[in-house]
Amino acid sequence: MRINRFAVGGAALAVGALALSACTPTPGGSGEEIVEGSSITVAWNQPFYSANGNTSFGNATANNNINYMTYGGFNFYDSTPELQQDESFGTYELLSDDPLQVQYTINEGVQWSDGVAVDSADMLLNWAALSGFYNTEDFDAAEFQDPETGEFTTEFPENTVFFDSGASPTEGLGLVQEVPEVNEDGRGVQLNYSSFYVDWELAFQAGLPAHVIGQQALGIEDPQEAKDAVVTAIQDGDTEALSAISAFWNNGFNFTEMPEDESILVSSGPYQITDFVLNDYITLSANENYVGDHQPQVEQVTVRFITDPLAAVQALQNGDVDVIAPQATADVRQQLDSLDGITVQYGDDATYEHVDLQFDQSRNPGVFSTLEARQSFLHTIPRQEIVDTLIVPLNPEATTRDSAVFLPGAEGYDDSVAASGVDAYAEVDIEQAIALREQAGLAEGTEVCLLFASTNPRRVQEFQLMQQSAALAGWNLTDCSSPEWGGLLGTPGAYDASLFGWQSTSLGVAAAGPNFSTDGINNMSFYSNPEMDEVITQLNGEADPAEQLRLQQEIDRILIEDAFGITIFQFPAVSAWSDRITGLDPSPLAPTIFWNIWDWEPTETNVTES
Amino acid sequence: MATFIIRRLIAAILILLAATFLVYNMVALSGDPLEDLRGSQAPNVQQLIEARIRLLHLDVPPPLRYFIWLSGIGGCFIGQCDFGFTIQQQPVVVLLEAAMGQTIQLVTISNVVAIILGIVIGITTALRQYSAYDYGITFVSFLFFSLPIFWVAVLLKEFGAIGLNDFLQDGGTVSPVFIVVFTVITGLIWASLIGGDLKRKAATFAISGVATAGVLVYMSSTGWFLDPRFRIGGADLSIVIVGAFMIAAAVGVTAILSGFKRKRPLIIGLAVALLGIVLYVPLQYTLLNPSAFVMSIPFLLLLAVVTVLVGVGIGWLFGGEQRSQAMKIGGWVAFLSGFVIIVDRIQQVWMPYSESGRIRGRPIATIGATTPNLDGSFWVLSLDTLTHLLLPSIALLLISFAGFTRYTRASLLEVLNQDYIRTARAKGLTERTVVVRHAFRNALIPIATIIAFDIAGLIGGAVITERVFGWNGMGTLFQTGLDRTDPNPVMAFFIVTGALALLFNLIADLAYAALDPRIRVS
Amino acid sequence: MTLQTQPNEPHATDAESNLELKEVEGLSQGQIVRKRFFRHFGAVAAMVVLALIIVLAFTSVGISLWGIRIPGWWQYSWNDIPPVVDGGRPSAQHPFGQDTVGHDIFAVVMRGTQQSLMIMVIVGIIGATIGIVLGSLSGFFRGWVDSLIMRFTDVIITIPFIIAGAVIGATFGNLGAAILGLVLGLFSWTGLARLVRGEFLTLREREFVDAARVAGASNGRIIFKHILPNAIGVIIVNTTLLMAGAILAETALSYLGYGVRAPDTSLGLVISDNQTAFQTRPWLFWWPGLFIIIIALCINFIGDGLRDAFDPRQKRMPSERAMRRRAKVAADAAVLRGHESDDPAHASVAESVVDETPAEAGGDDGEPPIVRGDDPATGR
Repeated sequence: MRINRFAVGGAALAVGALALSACTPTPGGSGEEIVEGSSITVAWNQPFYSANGNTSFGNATANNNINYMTYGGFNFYDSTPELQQDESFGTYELLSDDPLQVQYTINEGVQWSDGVAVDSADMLLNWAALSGFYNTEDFDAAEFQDPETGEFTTEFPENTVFFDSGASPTEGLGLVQEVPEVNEDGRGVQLNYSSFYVDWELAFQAGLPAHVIGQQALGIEDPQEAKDAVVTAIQDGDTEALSAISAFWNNGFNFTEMPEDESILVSSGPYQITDFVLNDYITLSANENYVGDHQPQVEQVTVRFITDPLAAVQALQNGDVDVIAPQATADVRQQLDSLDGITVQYGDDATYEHVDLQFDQSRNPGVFSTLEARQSFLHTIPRQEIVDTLIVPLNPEATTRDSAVFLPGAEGYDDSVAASGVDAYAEVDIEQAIALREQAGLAEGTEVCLLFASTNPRRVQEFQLMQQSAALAGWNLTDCSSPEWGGLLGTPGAYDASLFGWQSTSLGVAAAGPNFSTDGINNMSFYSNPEMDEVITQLNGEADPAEQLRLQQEIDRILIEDAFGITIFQFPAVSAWSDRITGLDPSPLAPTIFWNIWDWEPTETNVTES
Repeated sequence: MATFIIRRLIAAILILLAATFLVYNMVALSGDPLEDLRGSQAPNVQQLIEARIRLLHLDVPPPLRYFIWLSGIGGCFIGQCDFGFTIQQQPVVVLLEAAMGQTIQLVTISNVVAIILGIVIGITTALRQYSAYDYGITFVSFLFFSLPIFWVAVLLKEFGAIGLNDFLQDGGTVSPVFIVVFTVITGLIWASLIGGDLKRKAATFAISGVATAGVLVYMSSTGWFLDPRFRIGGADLSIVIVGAFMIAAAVGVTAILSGFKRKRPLIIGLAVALLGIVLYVPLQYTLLNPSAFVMSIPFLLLLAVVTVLVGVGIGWLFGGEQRSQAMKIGGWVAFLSGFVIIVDRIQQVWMPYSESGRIRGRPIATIGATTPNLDGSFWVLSLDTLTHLLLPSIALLLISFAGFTRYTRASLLEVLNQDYIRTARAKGLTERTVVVRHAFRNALIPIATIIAFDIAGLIGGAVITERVFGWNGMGTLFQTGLDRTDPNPVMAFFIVTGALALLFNLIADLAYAALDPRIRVS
Repeated sequence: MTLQTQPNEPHATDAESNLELKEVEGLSQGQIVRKRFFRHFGAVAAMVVLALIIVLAFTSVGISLWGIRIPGWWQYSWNDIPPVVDGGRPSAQHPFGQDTVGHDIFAVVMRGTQQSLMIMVIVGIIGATIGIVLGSLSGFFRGWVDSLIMRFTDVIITIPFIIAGAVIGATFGNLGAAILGLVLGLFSWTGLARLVRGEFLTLREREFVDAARVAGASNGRIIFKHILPNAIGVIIVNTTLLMAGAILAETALSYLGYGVRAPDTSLGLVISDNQTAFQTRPWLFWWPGLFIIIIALCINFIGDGLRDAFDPRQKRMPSERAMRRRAKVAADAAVLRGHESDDPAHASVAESVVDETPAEAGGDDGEPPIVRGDDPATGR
């Protein structure tokens, strides 16, 4: 009886549970459970956050890497590094040196991923943005930022235009102060500079999709109409329309995860963004509408954001990622070397380590005010030892960097090194250092306080090596390190010498100016030499490449003559990839590993079953 | 009761206000938020600096800036949360939403596992005080207590992920040496745990050793680690194993909750298990079939509740005189049976998952919370989450596990020495009744407090764990914020952890009152 | 599995408690605690190991404080840079190996140990002092003082230690280990303050406090002479645990980059700096890790020993097995003593059992000797 009750109850419950499921009882195969697709995963140390790398906000390596793959361009740096033109995208032609006139033309058939042509409208918009030509004068953007959030209010007050491109009327496109002429076929523009600009080749690209901005900012649905409206607004200087356009240009392309409106993801390069998870990864898939020479061979490239170098190495080892470019240390290298099936490449990064001396306003007053004192101190810096101990384990071919202006291997470097007199500092010369110190009238044990990043183990090690060597020559090198070293740079009375790195983002020649000219924005050493100022002014106005080289070499020479400081080494770079991919050829300049993304080739092991 | 909770909540809010004020100022004064710009070579650096000053109100001194921040948070009460912006100009609230899920997932899983393991092992050590087992566990838990969490995490990645993946890629066969060592250790643990005289210990050692070795050899030789199914001649007969686990659950639950003196509770337990076995096959074609039904976490939870209710209902219907015991047994057995079915379902996708092109035979991940671009059924994605959670959870739970074990042991020992336990024994209650009914419940009281306090510590530990395992949870939010002297994300992190800590304290107080009749909330 | 209730069980229990009384008869509180502590094998071993580590760390590389530098017997100092021998692998010259630049890792680990120990002690002292002061004020005066202090404690307790530490470390980490320890101490007293307050709340109601007050003792005297000594157990035990926590917190903070910074060093920093060397130069990772673990393990064991010594409530519970044995002993005793059943008799029998097995006495803590004495008889 009891058992019967159990049985009945159990059966009733079973029926009930089945009824709960209330679904079509079709059995399914386990094969449906996974949807396959092949991809290459790259580890990068910072998340992407803006598809507009030209705003002051979006200008970061993490963005520019991705934008490099999604926006076509007239030129790019290869791994040499040398500037290469991509003529399958468009061409440019120097019409005249004086006045500087450049003609840009986009090839026929080049189109955005949504099928709309890339043409002069996009370039015109890019000019308007980068030149700041229409920016309302005396417009203080601050007044129209939301005081709570700091975001620009979407609608600037009527008739106010502000492109947040950091444009300056004295350089780059800021010098193009007239509306460019548009070719009849609508595929070209001509830029007329008001004065010569030495890095004109680097100043201009095709820019963002004008039709998308027109659609979004002006509320026009048809892409062609939107494009025309943007062109008209720029040509007519319609501040009302430009106000909306500039607002969208500033803010519309900033996103940290997949945007709701995917129209801002249109691409003119080999890849387009197809997935983006906040702080985790971004996925690029081949752009089907891409017609240029840089046809990608890998269907999907996923960039995973991994900060920790060791984690990146382990992830590569474990197969979580296929390509890494971690911060290089000897251990990373050794660990990479021990892995099977991993290709490792060592090279230089575009950052160089150097010591600067304070000409004035030093912590120990006047310690480096004499040339002898500066020279004496520089003679004690064990550059070769630092390179041998800290850099060679990473890059066996590493040598000291001997020029403050030229990237090693770039044209002019060797000549400059030979002529500048830097070889006097090739080896530590303690006797010379002691003699010079005494000439300068400085007692044994004179203190020099060195500013460097206390959080950077390599700089700490450099400091220790420098300290030992300096002590031999009677210098007492002390520790002024700080985690906030960047903020202390150029602070009067904070330190006597500094040890840090400058990063070059291009081979442009205009970069030296701010570093060495009197009151230059990056001149932290209170250095002033009229001769140097003159050379810099000349250089910025010089069109002839040979003459440019001569002037740059002159800068190097004056720096050594004045014992401004000394360069130590080029940052080593390491990149490694698994056997699932070939064709990588990392470049020292950004976008480093990504520069030849179209040459990346999946290997057989990458073929997946579906 | 209600007034108590309201009063506590108001106090909590005031405390949180004071604490946030303190932390905000500490963060704001900890460095220079313009540092990266000062070293910049950008020509427009001055504009950038000004823009940032405006964005983050850097011209307002920190104590006052706190109130700007606070007014944004105050918006939460009218449905407009404004956690401010990061230095990167990202709205913090978006970052917080994304980060919270991952961290809470990690902290919850490791906490739950740590509590279960800690309490079970704590109880067994208390019951076998001064046995070799007890000393062993004491030493191990002190060891775990003393391990730097990042140190463990690096080791886990090396041996737990890369090592285990290599093992799986090499065919998943266990070396004989490992089998022997593992068998001996397991045998020793069981022998010490079951206790008894030398003869009995030897028997326990032999039986458990043979069983362990047998299972391991079977798993190794049949490639179980590559495809965790039970197959005979190609047919998937995992239902046998599933059924065995369910029946074992029924017997085990009955042994703990009621003993075998009376037959009815055991029959109810077995009946529920039987129901689970009966439902196993139909479920595979319906609810658990991705092409027939789209499973989701909320539905799974609902299903768990329904399952437990069904079990409790069976107990209620047929419990007779032992109705309350029968209901408990029914509920637990139903829950455990459901759990076994779900585990089995996830095991089914193990092989397709690990052989897929995204995983390529290396299922245990060292980094991140999910495999990018992995597309699949609920079960595949669940498995993916689990393989990513595995190592960080272990790293995190080791430490709290050690604490729970020690506290449970101490607490249970203290209770077992109370007079009322002597009384209970004296009146002839079985050891099971004494421990389960009288001692355990009271021993739980102090543990409830520890668990509440531990939440804050766990979140702190999560900061480090997330960093080592490359998760982008709250820890990342906190750390990047602090590194850039950017109070807004740090505060977002802190307000969540602070609120959680206060909430759990409140829950602990309520749990106290529920467990200990001497304490009244008023 | 059922318990057979023995008629003479109550006697056994009496015997047990009497035994314990006998054991501590005529001893001061301190002596009792010491006695119990030294019976805890783990704690004593930990104490010896810790003492050895302290001696090793301070004598080997010497001391450097406020510019005064006392060299140790080890040939290298932590900031010497001898040439790298054999890729830095451990050798006779450098037993723990060398790092990239050439630092002798033994010297560095010893210096790191010093720093970590110093942070630990400073956190312990500061945390304990603040915790005791605030806890006693709060528990003794109650009323608004209590509310004020406890609300303040709540505020601090809401901030997880690691969070407070990270924020503090970001600000003060570069000022050296001592300052870091000092500031960490300022955030680590909360648990202790609560416990001390709890102790005070109970103790202040006790008769001896009333007696002191009636005798005209001042509040200060009551606090320091009458209540605090009775709360010392809780204080010492929790201070040790606080210190164990501090050493791990320091390593975690250094790992995150908020702790001690170069050129100063600590164990956490050494690991953090060298964590990428884990596979390639394991000695850079294992040695400092080992020292952290040993120190924390020692402190935890000492804390456990102290807890057992101050609070012997966790002695072996009288389980059924134990009771059966005890009953047997009692019965045997009854036989021996000719069915005498008054308490002193039982006690002396049990005592003699203890005397038979003195070797076992070191292993167990605060356990009623009668049970221990019984073990050999049952063949455990």
